Amino acid sequence: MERRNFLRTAFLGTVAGIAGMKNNKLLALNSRPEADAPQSEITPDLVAVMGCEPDQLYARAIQEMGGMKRYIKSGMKVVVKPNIGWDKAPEFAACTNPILVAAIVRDCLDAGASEVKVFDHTCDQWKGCYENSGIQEAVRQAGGQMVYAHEEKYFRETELPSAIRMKRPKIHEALLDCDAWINVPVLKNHGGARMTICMKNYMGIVWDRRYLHSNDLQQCIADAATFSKKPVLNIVDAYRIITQNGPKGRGLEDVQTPKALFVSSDIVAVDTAATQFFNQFSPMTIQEASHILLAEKHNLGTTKLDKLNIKRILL
Amino acid sequence: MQLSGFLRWFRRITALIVFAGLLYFFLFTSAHLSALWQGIIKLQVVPAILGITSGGLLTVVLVLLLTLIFGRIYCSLICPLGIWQDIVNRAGLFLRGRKKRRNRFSKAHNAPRYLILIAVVICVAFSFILPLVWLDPYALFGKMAVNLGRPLVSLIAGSEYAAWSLAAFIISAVLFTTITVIAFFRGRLYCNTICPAGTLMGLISKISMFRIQIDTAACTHCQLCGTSCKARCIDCNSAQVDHSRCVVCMNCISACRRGGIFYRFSWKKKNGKQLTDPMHQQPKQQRNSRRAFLLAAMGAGIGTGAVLLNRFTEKKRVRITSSMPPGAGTLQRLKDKCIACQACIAACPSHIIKPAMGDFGFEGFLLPSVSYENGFCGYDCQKCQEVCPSGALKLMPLEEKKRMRIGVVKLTLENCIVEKFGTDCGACDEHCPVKAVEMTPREGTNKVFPKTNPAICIGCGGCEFICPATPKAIAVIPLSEQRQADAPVLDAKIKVEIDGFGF
Repeated sequence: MERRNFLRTAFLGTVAGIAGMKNNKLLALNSRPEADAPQSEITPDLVAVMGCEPDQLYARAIQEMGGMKRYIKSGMKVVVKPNIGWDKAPEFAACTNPILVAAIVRDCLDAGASEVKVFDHTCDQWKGCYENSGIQEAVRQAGGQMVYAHEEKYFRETELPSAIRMKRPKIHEALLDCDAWINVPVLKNHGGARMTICMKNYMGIVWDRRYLHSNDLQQCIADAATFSKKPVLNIVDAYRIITQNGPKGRGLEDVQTPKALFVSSDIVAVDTAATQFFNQFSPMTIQEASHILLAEKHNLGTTKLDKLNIKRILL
Repeated sequence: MQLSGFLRWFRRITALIVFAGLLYFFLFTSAHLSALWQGIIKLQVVPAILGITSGGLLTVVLVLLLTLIFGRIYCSLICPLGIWQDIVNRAGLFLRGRKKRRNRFSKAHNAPRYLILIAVVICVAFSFILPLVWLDPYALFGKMAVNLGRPLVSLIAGSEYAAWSLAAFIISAVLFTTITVIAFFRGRLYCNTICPAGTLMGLISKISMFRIQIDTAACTHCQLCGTSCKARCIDCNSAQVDHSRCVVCMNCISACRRGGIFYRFSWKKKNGKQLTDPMHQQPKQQRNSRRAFLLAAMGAGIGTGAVLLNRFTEKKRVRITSSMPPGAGTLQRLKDKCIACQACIAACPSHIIKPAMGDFGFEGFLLPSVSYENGFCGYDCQKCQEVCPSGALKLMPLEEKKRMRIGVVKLTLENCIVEKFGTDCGACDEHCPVKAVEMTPREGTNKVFPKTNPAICIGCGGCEFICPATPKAIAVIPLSEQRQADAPVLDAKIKVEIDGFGF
């Protein structure tokens, strides 16, 4: 009996060890000199930057938004939610730019976040997505942790009181347990939802994708965005964008490289702005990507960009 | 003595590394596969024989050469099922106590082993390899590890096991129990009676360059070596070793208190000390020659019978109910090459390969079949082809794999969400890597509807997997003959220059 117990303990211990190792929290090693102090003037509602590399775009935009410390307080548990939906290399633009994700993770840690978790409920096989998107490596180097989202056990049922079609989805535990989260989608066209930007990125926090697709996709996307814990920032990666055959894309011919970035706390506004930006490459309106309008009906933000204080920066 | 101790430990350590590596591969790994483990997988001799035209030749030559030089070290060092039996037998030594005779000499079961070998050789020669699915040690090991081990690992880790199959679990459990119990009480009885590879190598190891030899001058017939021999091939009374069954474990050398057993070069001319006495053996062989002939005839008869039966029951056109993994070619080819070691099932990162039940007919039982219930075939993935030891899933250039059609799309538009409810969906379009299904605008509506282009479809199953409709509006029809699909016509790259944000 003794031997059997020992063997069982040893075996379970090994399994636990292997499982645990992957979750190892890596220490944040990178510390960067503080960005310039927040601007004194009124913070804009939306910042649009265009014309340089992803991390520079981010640095400039966050500076205009008043610096990360405005949004992330010391000791907060933070989640950064990029789009890691597909098993594709960064140049295919199917996933959020890894350099941008890393820059945000690093900035959150510099602002005093106690931990930064990154995940997505992927469409393609999750390991391939995490690895080939370059996001896993980038996040680890920046000091954040990638967390699993490929099994139902990581999701908990949550009530969305003001939702119309999707009232009780299962939402990822990291998001339910965090103090603040940042939504970091990539701008792409989408065969079903027409556009995939900030709100469509919510699909990766929900377990049952098929539910959304079969119960009025546009309404469900808007419903998902009513989740009571709103992202403190929505950062749209438009460094590379997919303008045809999205959201996965077939090859590099589907990709344009406008080198842009949009940041706002207003999810409807930033999706509207991004759609109008996208319209320059391929015809698209918010009437077609109707979840944006439905979200406005949910009072999640405004589509009337002219009423907002927008800062446009061409570098 | 020093050397033999070293050799024994070398054997144990190598065996443990190989065993642990293979077990780790079958139980845990999916995406990551180091070259070392891949090498061990490819060293398995029976799959290598089947894949002799696709890179297996080197392994076959290497293993036969090793056997010719060192005896059946393959069975002790590389065969995972053999190593498992050694571990079990060794455990038996502790559990059954020292007083009881652990092992004792038993006669070779020549009738069944040569019967099986001859029958199997004939079957394989006429590319009917079903017998190997159930006899080859590596195939058996794989089946047990995948169908028995993986569900248990998932259970302990608290995650779901996608390729679960109750029938395969039960069969593997029965096989595992049988082999383990036999190994516990009778050592390597399976290896020396049933295993066709063991019997084949036994024919070579009889005349191998190095062999275990007992020094008759030193031998007191004390039986110690016999009790330590898990192959039960040392006859202590006549101080003879049956080299056709000896797996060169070196246990007897350490067991002998008089230092009378050696592992040594045995091709030189007989010296006085050597035991092999032609006078003793000649009449024995004569007595057996008639029996041997009958045996061979029976084996040949069984083999031929099996081949003919298979030929006659074979249908020209087969309808299969599941797709085959990419690289299988035709159903016939898969049946001719696959011994169902299930390495592909263990390696598939999307967990879409499952042991077939009736999908490929009864001879296809437990062969790898594709199910889109839990995922779909990764566009850039060819893990199953990389790990296939027999080349049943042919490793091809990635570009070729990306066009390899394992099934073809079938759209039932009236079940589609957009058609039924008038709401947007597009999940199939989203998942299709080649855009064989694409959301297309329909006149008079502001909606987009799925439209298929079967010519470029590769049957990866992304659409079927994700389709939220019940019943599914889009599904993949399995094909019993895999061919290259047409290459999709790519859209032109239009370079758009912008000078503002557009808002």
